[in-house]
Amino acid sequence: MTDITINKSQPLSEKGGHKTQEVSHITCIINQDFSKKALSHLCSLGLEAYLETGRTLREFVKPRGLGVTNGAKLRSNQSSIIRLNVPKTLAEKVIESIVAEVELYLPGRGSIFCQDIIEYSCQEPSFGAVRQHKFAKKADHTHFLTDLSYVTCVLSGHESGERLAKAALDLGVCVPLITYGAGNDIRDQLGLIRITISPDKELVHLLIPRQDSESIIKLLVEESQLNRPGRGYMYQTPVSIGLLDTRLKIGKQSHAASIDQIIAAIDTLKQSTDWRKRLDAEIDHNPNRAFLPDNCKISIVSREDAVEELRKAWVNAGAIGAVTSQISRMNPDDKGEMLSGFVISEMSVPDHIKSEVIGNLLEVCERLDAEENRIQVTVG
Amino acid sequence: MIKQIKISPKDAIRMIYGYAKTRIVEQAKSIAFIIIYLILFQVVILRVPLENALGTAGGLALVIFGLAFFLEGLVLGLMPIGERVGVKLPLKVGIVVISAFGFILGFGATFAEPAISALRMAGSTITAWDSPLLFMLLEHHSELLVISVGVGVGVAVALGMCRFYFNWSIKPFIYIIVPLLLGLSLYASNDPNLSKIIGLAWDCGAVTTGAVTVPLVLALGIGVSKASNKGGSSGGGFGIILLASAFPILAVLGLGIYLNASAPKPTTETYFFSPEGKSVADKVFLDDNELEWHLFTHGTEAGRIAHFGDKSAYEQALLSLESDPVMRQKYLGDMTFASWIIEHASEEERHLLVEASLEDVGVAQLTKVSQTLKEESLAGIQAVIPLTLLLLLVLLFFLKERLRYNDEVALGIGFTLIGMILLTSGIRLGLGSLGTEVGKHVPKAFASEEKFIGRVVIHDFDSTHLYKAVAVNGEQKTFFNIYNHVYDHDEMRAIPYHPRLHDVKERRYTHMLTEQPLFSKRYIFLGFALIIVFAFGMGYGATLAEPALNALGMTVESITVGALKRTKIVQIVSIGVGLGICLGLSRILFDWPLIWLIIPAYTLLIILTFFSEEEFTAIAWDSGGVTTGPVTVPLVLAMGLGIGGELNISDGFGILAMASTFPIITVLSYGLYARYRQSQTLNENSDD
Repeated sequence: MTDITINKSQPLSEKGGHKTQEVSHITCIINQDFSKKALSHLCSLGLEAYLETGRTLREFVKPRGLGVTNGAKLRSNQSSIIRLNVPKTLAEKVIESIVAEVELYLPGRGSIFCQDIIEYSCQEPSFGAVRQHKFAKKADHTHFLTDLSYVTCVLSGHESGERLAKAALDLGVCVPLITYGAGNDIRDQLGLIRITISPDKELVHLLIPRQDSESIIKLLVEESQLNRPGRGYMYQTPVSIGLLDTRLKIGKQSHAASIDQIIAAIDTLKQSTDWRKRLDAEIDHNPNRAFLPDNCKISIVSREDAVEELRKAWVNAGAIGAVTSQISRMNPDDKGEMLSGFVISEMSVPDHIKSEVIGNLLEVCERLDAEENRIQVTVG
Repeated sequence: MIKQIKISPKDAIRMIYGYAKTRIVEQAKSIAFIIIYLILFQVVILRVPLENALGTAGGLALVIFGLAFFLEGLVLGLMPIGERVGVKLPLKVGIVVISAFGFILGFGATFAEPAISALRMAGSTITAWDSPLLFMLLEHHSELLVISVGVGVGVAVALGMCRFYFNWSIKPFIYIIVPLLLGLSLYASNDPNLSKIIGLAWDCGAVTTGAVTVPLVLALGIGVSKASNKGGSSGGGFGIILLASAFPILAVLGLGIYLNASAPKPTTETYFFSPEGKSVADKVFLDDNELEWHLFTHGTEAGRIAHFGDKSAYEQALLSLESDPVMRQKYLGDMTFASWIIEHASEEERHLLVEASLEDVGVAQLTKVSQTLKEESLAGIQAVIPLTLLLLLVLLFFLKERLRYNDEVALGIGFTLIGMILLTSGIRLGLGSLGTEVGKHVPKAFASEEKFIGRVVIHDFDSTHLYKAVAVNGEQKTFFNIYNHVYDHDEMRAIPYHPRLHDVKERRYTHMLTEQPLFSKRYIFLGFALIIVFAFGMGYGATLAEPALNALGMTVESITVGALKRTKIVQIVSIGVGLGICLGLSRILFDWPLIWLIIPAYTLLIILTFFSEEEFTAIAWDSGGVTTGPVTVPLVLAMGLGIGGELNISDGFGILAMASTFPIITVLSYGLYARYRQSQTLNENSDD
C-alpha cells in the first residue's frame, strides 16, 4: 500500500484510482518502554500506525563533576516514533487518549503533535472504529500548545546529528530526536565514485516555538554548518497542536522543582510558549542564505522494494534529497502485529514542481500495483 | 533512467582521497594501542631490543590497509548480498529450504575459514602419553574434527534461520544448550582422557566463527528476520553466532566421547615409550617414525632412555644424531639440531653433545614476504570466494533477483579479498612476529632460574687464568675473566668456573650462556602480576582491531539508531576479552582445571541472561563469538604457548574459550546498567 501525504497544499485533482483526503497526521515520540502500550491502545482504537526507532538526547548532569568538565554529558534513550492518520475532527480526542494512556504529560515520557495533511492513497483509510469509539472526557491536566513548529534536519556525515542535538539542548528548545535514514538521490547519479559518498543520513527532529523559529533555525544552521555545501538541509512544517517533552536534563536536581518542570508549568498556565520568547528574532538579510520559502514536504510510505521505482519518479520530476527510513507497520486488523519491510521517504520540494512529483509518484504506484501486485492496498 | 552527473578526474581524486583517508586513519587508530603496548612492553619492561623493526613496521602497515579494505568490502559487498538473500529467501521458499541453505552455509564456512591450524597450534605442546585422545584428535582425526565442527556450525545456522522465521526467543536456546554443555563437560572431566579435550572443545566453539562468516551470517539473519515480517523493533539478525559457537562444542565433545572407546588411557612417559608400552603407543601413532619424532620433540630424557632400552644405547643414538643428517631428519623433522639442544635436551644430553655447533639457531626464521603473500592469498581466496559465490548464485539463479548496484558489490568483494590477504599477511609479517617476540620473552618475567640459551666453547683455555675469590664467611670460589663475549662486548666480566665444563686434555672450556630472570625468587609474584597485566592489555588491544567485531558493532549501532555506539560495544567487548585472557592465562600458569572456570562463568551468564532484555541477550552472546578472529588468535596463542612451554604445561587450550566467555559477561552487565539508566529518565519524574 502506498500513501502520499502532502503538507500545506491544495488538494490535487484526483488521478486514477487514488483518493484524496484531508486528515490529521499525529506523530508521537515516546520512550521505547512505552511504545508497546501506546501501540496496543491505537490498535484498540482501530487505527493503523507506523513505527520507527530513534533515540532522544538529554543532558545528563553528573552528581559530582570532577571540575575538569562542566559535568554535563549527553545521554541517549531509545525512543519510538509512532505516526498515524486520524480524521481531522477526532485529532484532539485521539491525542488526548494517547496522552492519558501513556501519561505523556509526565516530563521524560515523550512528545506528541499533530499536523494537517492531505493524503493520497489507493483506498480510503478506515476510520470506522475510531469514529464510533467513545472517548473519555477531557482530563484537566492536558493543555496543548498551539504555536509550535516541527523542524527536520537532514545531515550527512556520521555523528553530525549529535552536534546539532547538543546545540538544540543548549538553547533549551526541546528534547531532540535522532533517527537514521539513507539518501541515494545524488549517489545514483554518479558512477562507481558514489562509494566515496556515504548514503547514511542522520535526521534530527525538533519541536520549536513558532515565533522563535527564525532565530533558532539561524543558530542551528550556524552550529551544524548547514550553510556549507554537502552538509545537509533542514525544513520546518507547521504544527496544529502539540505537547512538548520538557525533560531536557536528567541527573542531579538541586531545587524542589527542576527548571524544566517550571517551564512546563508556565507553558501549561499560559497555554503557549510565547512567553519564552527571548531570542532576537532579527532576520538576517544575508543574500547567501539559502532559505527557500515556498517548499512543501512530501512523505511516501511504501514497501522497501518499491523505493527504487518511486525514486526514479521523484528524481525525474526534479525533486532531490529524499531520505528513506526503515519503519514497520502496525495493522489493527492483524491484532496489532508489527510488519517490517516498510520505508518512509521524506522530501522537501519546491511548490512549482509539487504537482509533477505527485503525478509521477501516483503513476508509479498504480503501475506497480497493477503489474507486480507487490504493493498492498489498505484493507477497508 | 536517472541522468548521470559527470565528475571531473580532479574532483574524483579529491573524493577518493577523502574517502580513503578517513578509513585508513580509523584503522590506524584501532591498532595503535596494541602496537604501542607491545613495543613498550618489550623495550621498557622486558628490556629486549626489537628484532627486525623494519619488517614489523611494513607488516603493520599491511594490517592497517588490510583492515580498511576488509571492512569497506564487507559494507559494500558481502553484507548487502547476505541481507538481500535473507530478505528474498523467505518470500520464495519455505523454512525447510531456508534451513538447508543455512546448514550448507554454516558447514561451508567452517571449511572456508579453517580454524584447525589455530587449534593445532594451541595443541602443539600436548604429549601423546599424557593425553592420547587429544593427540589423536588433533593429529590423526583432524578431518573428523573439522567435519564435526562443520556439522555443529551448520546445525546452528539452520536453527538460527528457524528462530528468525518463527520469531522464537533466544533465551530458551541458552537455557537448554548451556546446561547441556556444562553437564557434558562435567561428565568429561571425570574421565582422564576426556578431561583433556574439554579445552579443545570450548576453544573450537570460540574460533569457528571467522571474520568472513560472521558478517555474512549477521546480514543473512537480518534479512530473514526482516522478511519474516515479525521483525518489529526486535534486534533481528543476532543470535546465530551464539549458536554457531555452542554447537561445535557439543559436536567436539560428542566426537571425543565416541573416539574415547578406541583410545588408550593416559600413562607415564617411560612406560609409553618402553618396549612394554609399545602396544599402547601403536594405537596412538601411525608408525615408528612418528613415535620417535614425538619422542625427541616432545619427550624427555627419561622417555628416550626407556625407548632405547638402556643409557648406553641411547647415548650411541644421540651421538649418531650429531653426525648423521638422515637420522636427524628422522628424529627431529624440521627442527634444527641446535634448537633441539637448546630447547629440549637435558643438561646431561647437552654435556654429551658438547661438540655440536649451536650456530644455526641464531638464524631467526624470517618469513619470506612473497611466500607469505602467496600462502595468504590462497587462504584469502578460499575464505572469501566460495561463500560469496554460494550466496550470489543463490541470489541470481535460484531466487532470480538482481543486485541494486552490481559494480559496487563486485568492488566490495574485491575489497574484502584484498583486505583479507593484506590483513593476514600483515599479521604474519608484522603484528604476529611482534607478538611472538614478546611472547617468547614474557616467560622471563616469572622464571626464577637462569635459562639456558646457548653456549660458547673457549679453545686454548689456560688454567692459569683462574683465580679465587673469597666470600665474607671465608668460602672460596674459582673464577676466570672473560671479555668480548656475547652479551657485553668489550666489558670484562667474571665467570664462575665449573670443573665439569673444562676438558683439560683438549684445553677447552664450555661456557654456558644463560638469561637472567627479571625478578629474583622472592619477588616472583611480581612476575606473575606482570604477566596478568600484560595479558589483559594484549587481549584488549588485539580485540579493538578485530574486524568481525567491528562489523558487529556497526550492525548494532544502526539497529539501535546510535543508542549503542560501535566504539562503545567494541570497548566493552575488548575489556571482556582482556579479562577472559587473564583468566585463561591464569589457568595455564597455575594449572587450574578449565571446567572450574567454565562452570562459574556460565552460571553467572545464565543469571545475567535471565535478567536481560531479549534484544540485548542476543547481541551480547554474539559478541562473545566474534571476538576470537584473525588478529587475536595468533597473538594470544603465541603468548600462551610461550608461557606454557616455559612451565611445561600440557596444552595451551582454554585461553580462547575464556576470551569469548567474558565479553558476554561484560556486554550483558553493560546492558543491565544501560537499562537502569534508561529507567532513570522515567523514574525520577514518577514522584511529581
